[in-house]
Amino acid sequence: MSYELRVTVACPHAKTADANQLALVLGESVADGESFAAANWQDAAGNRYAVMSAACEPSFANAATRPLAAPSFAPDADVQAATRAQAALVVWSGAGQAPKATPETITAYFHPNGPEALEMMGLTPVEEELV
Amino acid sequence: MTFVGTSIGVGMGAAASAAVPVAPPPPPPAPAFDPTTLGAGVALTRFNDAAMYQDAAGTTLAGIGEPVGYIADLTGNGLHFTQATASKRPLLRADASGNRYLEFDAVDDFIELRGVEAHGIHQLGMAANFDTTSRAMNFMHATQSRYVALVNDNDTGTAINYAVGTTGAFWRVSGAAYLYGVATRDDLYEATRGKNTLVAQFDTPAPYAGFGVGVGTYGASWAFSGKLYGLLATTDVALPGTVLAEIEAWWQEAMQ
Repeated sequence: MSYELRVTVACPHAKTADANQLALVLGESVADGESFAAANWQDAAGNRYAVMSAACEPSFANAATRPLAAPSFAPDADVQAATRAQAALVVWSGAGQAPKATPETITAYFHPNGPEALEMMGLTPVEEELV
Repeated sequence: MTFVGTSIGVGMGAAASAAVPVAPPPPPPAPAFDPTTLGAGVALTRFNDAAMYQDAAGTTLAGIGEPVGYIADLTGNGLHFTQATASKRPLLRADASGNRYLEFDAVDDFIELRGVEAHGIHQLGMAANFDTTSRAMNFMHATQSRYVALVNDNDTGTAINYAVGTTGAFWRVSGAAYLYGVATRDDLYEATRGKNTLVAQFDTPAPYAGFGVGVGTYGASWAFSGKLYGLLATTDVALPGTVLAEIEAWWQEAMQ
């Protein structure tokens, strides 16, 4: 398979559960329901986000926007929650002005570099103590 | 009388033959290092096409540019490194020499070794060198002899660390870690020994020293976005220095 694209997603902390259901529905195993973990990135206002970044096939963009259904490996997936997350998606593929991450949207960039994409979204990692 | 060619000496007896210098036979080649001789409590791999799989179950081989969800432990101990979540899998790459390495995205990629409690594994490491000028690290570089430790020594759970999850204890290697440049393997060990305070939160035997070494660069927030060529996990005392040296040579052999 061809993993030519990279998608990087910033999910507001409050939408993490919905976003994980979307990742589960679009994924390949139940473990994909854990795609968004700790909200350890933040915007200038201090709003926290969980982030993910993954190489993906070109067909991913279409798959992410089509009507959703529970996959065979997770028949109990919460499709309603996944659909809410899908409705909150703001996708930027490089054309026009890049949207910033906001607490109301789940922001996704198709960009070859994950950390750069997060920086363009206006996010910084929550500082951790360095030795 | 004329003697021509090799006819000289024929029939002159053993004493005359002994006077002709004869090169000693070359020593037999050193036996190839065999990971299966390491015994229990050790996980070891080097990255090649036969050891890397896309899925965490280890059923679909990974090609160049594809995600890696399973790296086979070559010791026979069954301690395989895995990543079940598709978006968190590093990518298999090949450098200019064709060497395979793992590329982490410095956002959320990592691989794990689970079940280490049962095997008493306390260390996780690799050996490599890095260029202090460019901060590009080169595996076993001929003129750069610094080891680089990649460790997590607080409780973020995002770098190399030992932790206890819902399915048991595991080691984790991810794209966000702290790097230490040290001079020798012993220094590397000392630099990382006991730094993982996360471990102290659990009722597990001390010391737990985790170290790993990659090849690549690090940048903002010390996020590691480098290349990883091999993995070793072992107990604190399982491997003497001579064996570690053998492992390093074995890694190096595959990375020319």
